[in-house]
Amino acid sequence: MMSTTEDKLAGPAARNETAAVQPGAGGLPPPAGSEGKESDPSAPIDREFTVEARSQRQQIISRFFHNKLAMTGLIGFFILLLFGFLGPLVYTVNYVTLNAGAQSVGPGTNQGGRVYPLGSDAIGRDLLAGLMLGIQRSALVVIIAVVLSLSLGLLVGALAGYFGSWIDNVLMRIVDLILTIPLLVVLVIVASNFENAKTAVGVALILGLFGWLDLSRIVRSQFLSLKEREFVEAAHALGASNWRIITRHLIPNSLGTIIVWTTLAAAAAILAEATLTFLGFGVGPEDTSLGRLISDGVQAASTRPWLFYFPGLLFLLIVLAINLIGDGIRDAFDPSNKRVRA
Amino acid sequence: MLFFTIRRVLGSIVVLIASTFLVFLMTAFSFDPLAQYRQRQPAPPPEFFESLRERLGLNDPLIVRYFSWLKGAVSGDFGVNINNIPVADQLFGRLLVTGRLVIAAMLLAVLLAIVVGVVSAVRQYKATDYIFTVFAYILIALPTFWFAALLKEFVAIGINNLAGDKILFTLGDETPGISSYGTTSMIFWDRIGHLVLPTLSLGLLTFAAWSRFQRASMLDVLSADYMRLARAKGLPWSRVIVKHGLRNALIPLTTVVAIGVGAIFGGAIVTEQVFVWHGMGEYLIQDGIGKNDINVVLGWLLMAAFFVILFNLIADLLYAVLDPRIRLS
Repeated sequence: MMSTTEDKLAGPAARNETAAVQPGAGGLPPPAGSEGKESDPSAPIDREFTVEARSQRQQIISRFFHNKLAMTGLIGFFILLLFGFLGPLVYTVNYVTLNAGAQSVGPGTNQGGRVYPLGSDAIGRDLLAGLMLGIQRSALVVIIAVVLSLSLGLLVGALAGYFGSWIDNVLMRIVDLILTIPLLVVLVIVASNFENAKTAVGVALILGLFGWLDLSRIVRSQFLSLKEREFVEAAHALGASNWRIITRHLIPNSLGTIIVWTTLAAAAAILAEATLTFLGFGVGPEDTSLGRLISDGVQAASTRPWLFYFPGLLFLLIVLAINLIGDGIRDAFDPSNKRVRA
Repeated sequence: MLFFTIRRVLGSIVVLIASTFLVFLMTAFSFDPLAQYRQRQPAPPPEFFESLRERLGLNDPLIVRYFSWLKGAVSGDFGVNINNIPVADQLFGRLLVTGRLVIAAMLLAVLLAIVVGVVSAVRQYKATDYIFTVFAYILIALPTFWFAALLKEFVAIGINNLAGDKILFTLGDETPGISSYGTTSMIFWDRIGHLVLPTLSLGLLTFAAWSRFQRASMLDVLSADYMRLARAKGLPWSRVIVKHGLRNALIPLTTVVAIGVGAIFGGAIVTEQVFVWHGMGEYLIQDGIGKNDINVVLGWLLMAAFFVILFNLIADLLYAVLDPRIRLS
C-alpha cells in the first residue's frame, strides 16, 4: 500500500509510468480510491484539452522514431545484425575451412567451382564468411563488455553519489587515479598478463573491467543532484530503503544519460577491441573478430586491398549506426540540444 | 588567483605521487624482472635467481621497493633496462619524437575544431554544417590504425606517384642516419616531411569529436542574451561572433582538450605503430612489455601520468583565467 503512494510522489519518470497507462486506454476512469490528492487533471473523461495527453516516455519514444538520422542508424544496425547472424544460414560457407587452392583470390573470383564474393585471405579463408563471423564475435564482445562495465559503473557511481562523504571521496579518487594513465595503456598492460586468453571473450572481460570509469562519474553527478530533490525526500519520509530509492527513483530518473552512455560504450568497445587486437594484445589469430579482420587487412593493404577495404567499411558502418542511434536517443531525451536557435 | 594556483599545484603533486604508487603496483604485479633469465637454456640454478633477487632488491617488501624506485625517479634516475642502459636517457629521446607528433596533432585538432565548430554552429542546418557533420561522424567511427593505414598506403603513395617524387614519407620519424650527416635545416625539413602524415592521421581523428563539442558549445552561446544585446547595441555580426561568442564558447573546450590528452597519447601509440616511428609507443610495446622490462614500463607510465596530470592542471588554471566565476567561488 505504501509503495503505491510512494510511486506517485516519485518524480517525473516514475510518475509517467502510471500516467502512461491512462491516456492510452482512452481515458478510462481511474480505479477509485487509488488517486491521490494531487492526481493529474487529465484523468477525468472530459478534459480541458481535446489533444490526447502524452506521457514523457511516449514523447521520448516518438521523438526518437521521428528522427530520420536515428532511424537510419537503427535500420542500418538491424540490417548489419541480420547480415551477421542470419547471413550464415544463406551463405553456408565455413570461415574456418582453409582452401589451399584459393589463397589470396580477389573479390568475385571463381576458384575451383566456388565463388569468393569478397575474395579470400592468405590462407584461403572466405572473407564474406569471415565478416559474418566477425560481427557475431564482436557482438559478443560488446555485450559482455557493456554489461560488465554498466553494472560496475552503476554500482560505483551509485555508492559514491548516493552515500557521499568518505565513500564518495575514496571511490572517486580511485577513479581519478586510474584515469591518470591513458586507458589504452592500462588495457595493454593488463592484457599482457594473459597471453593465453587472446579470445573475444577474454578481451571483452578486460574491456568490461576498465570501461566503467566514465560511467561512474556520470552516475555520481546525476545522483548528487537528484538526491536533493523533493521526491527522494518524500520517499525517505515514507520509509523507503536506500536500495529502493536507488533502484526505483534515482536510476529511472537518470535513465536517459545511462542509455546514451550504453550506446557510446558499445561503439567504444568495438573500437577498443580493434585497437588492442592491432597492437597484439587483443584477439589472437586463433579466434575471429572485426578487429582481427581489420588488423589482418591493414597488414595486407597494398597487396590485397580487398582485405583492407571490406572489413574497414563494415566496421565504419557498424560504429556509425551505433553512434547515430546514440545521438538520436540523446536528442530524444533532451530535445534542447536540437532546438533551432535564433 | 595566486592561492588558487598554489592549491591546484599542490593538489596535482599529491595526485602524481598517488599515481606513481598505482603505477608501481600495476607494473609489479604484471611483470617479472627475471623473465629474461628464466628462458635461458640450460636453466640457471636456483641460487642464481636468489642472488639476483637479493641484488635487485626483489626480496624486500613491495613498499620498500616502491620507495627506493620513487627516490630514484624523483632525482631523474629511472633505473636501467635489461641491457643495462639507463632508461631515462632512452625515454627522453623517445619523448621528443612522440612529443612532436602529439603537439602537432593537438594543435591541428584544436585549430580545426574551433574553425569547423564555429562555422557549423553559425551556419546550423545549412549545407556547410551538414558536410562537416558527415565528415566528423565518419572520422569518429574509424579505428585509428585503419585510417592511418589508409592515408599511408593509398593517399600518400597516390600523391607520391602523381608527383613522381617522394613528397610524403610513410615510414619512420626521420630518414635513417640523417642526424649523422645532415645539416640542421636538412634534419628539420626531413622531420617535418615525416611528420605530415602521422599528424594528419592523429589530428583529424581527434578533431572530429572536438568539433562536435565546439559546435554544441557555440550553439549554446549563440542563444545567450548577451549576444542579442551586443547585436542590439549595433555591433557588426562578425564582431559579435568573435568577441562575444567565440571567447565564451572556448571555455568548455579547454577541459575537453586537457582530458583528451590521455586518449591522444593512446592514439599516438597506435599511429606510431603504423608509421613505424621509433617513439614512445614502440618503446612501451616492443622494448617494455615485449621484453618484460619492468623499468622501461615504469618509466613510461610515470612519464604518461606526469603529462596527463600536468595537462589537467593547465586546464584547471586556464579555466580559472577564462571564467572568473570558478576562482571566486
